[in-house]
Amino acid sequence: MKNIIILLLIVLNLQANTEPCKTDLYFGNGVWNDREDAKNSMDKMFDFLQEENPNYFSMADEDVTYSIKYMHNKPYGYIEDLIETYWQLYTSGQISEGYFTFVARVLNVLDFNFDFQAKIKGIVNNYHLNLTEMYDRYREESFDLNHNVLLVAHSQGNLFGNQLYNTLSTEEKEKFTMVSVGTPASHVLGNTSSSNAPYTTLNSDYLIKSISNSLPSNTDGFGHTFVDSYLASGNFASRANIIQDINDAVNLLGQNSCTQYKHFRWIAYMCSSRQSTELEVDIYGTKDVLSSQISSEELVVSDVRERISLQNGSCPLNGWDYRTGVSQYDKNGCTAYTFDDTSGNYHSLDYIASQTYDNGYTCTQYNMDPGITENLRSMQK
Amino acid sequence: MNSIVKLMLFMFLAVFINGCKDIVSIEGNNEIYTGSTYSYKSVITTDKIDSLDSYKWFVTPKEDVELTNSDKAEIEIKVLKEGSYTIHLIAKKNSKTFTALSKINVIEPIIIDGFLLPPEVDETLNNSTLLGIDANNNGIRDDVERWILLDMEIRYGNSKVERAIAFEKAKAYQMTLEDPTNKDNKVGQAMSDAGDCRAYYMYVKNKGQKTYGGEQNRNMKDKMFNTKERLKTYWAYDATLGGRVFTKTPTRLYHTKCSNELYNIIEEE
Repeated sequence: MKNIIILLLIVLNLQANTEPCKTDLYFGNGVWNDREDAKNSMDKMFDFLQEENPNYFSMADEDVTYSIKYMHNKPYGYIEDLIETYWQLYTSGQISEGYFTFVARVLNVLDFNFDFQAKIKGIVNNYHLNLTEMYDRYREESFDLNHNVLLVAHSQGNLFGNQLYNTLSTEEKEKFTMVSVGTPASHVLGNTSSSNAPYTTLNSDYLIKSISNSLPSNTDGFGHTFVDSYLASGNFASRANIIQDINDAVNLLGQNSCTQYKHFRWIAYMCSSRQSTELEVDIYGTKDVLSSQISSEELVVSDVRERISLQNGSCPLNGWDYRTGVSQYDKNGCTAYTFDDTSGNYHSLDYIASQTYDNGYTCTQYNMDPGITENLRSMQK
Repeated sequence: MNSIVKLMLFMFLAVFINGCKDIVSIEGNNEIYTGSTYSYKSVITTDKIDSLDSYKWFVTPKEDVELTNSDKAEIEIKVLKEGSYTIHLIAKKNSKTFTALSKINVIEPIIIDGFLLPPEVDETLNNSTLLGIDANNNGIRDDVERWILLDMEIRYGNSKVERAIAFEKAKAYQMTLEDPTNKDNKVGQAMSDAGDCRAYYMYVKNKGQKTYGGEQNRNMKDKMFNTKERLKTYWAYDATLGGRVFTKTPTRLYHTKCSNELYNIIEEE
């Protein structure tokens, strides 16, 4: 019985120390959209979300518990973007190489371009660069900040979403989900069954119907455009389906919890393996109670920055900030040399982000990577 | 005999001057408003000469006309009374004389919702350059300004506000042509702010009503980027945004993206 109570207390304590992660809701646009079209779609989508689920998507919580984002899919031209779409269908196994080649050759001739090989090579190169860049942006803007990602993808945006999913780590996949609208793909993420997949395709979306092996239509309605067809105010079935999928996705992601820290502390290193112009700093976080032992905390992030020497005089450290080698923290040929206040006091994140460090040879003004500062701030209770 | 020589000399000069007419032309609006000042300039239309030595401008009839810099390559004209007028230019290069004429129609200014309707522009001239004609120099191309004031659909029944919002957007679109490289993201920011301010009007001030974002945007873009060169330049600007992530301005902060002047117009209505 005693053990059960202890276990219950531990569970309650864990719940008290964790909070839901912020969710970034991305709009993934289709072909031939410029930034303005996509912005209009994003604004309209938000209006729709507020109407349909005002509790979660409240105005007051925007940019607090959730954000609406959009990544601009680089347009390369009308024909090029179409060929790119068919290339994506081919690489995902949805259409055969022969089918792709046939369609691409027809489109190529329509574009009055006769150097087929060069054109395809260019499109494929751009596509892979796009995908890599896309993954990097998602990482910088969301995953590195410990945010969930909910991608509402329309048309070609679905193909990018499916491909992106394949590049994510296991941890990132748990924080990612997609709602498909007017999808030309045969599946939604890893979900191959059309009965389970969160998608909406209108039964008179002839653009999607013309694409081989695309998911079958499942909702009444006409047209393909995101705003004027799928979110049209009179299209009740489509709107109901989409909001249901979004609510399910929000609930699914809401089960993720984010680590939150009460305090941060730092260690700076003296590294023979690094250039003398580099400074390495580790940031540790503590979740709840104060601790004077860094070893009882978690390493949150390492930052390597350019070393900018402070000129002349002794190296100013604050209060009980501590300067000596403590071998138990040494790592990768680096000696842990300068520590945060060892008396059990903690400094503010702003203090840590611009602190002075000493590696035994050089006195250094540290300027934390702004992305890391933002990341840490989002983890701070 | 003397009269015959004079007549022949006159005919020779007439033929000579007439032959030189196409060497120079006058650039400027064919329709202008009474009481406003407009610029006209001399343009050399041949590669045979690259400059002119002297200029003489005059307007007929000369009553009610104020003309400045009449001996320069560019003049300013203000006409006080409605009617048809002719601008004359006589320019010289070495001993040769060149002439040009331009007929202008002067009308009373038209004010719509407190905005001055720009005079009709010469379409060929307007479309011959990337930036087109902006005679009143307010950052909006005159043909687009006329479209906003005369043809744009008014969705919420408040034409003054809707036109003021459209002007802000048109200014931002014009910036994409002026700097398609989007240096320091100034153009991108102007585009984003104009869109957010419009969203404030649509989604906050007129919440629950049918929006017009997409179709108005398409119509305005059709008007703005009406030549191949303009459309190509706009897409070049758009490509600078490729691969970037944009976070939507929170709806509760949309109003902060309106210029003070525009915000006051929206709130006054």
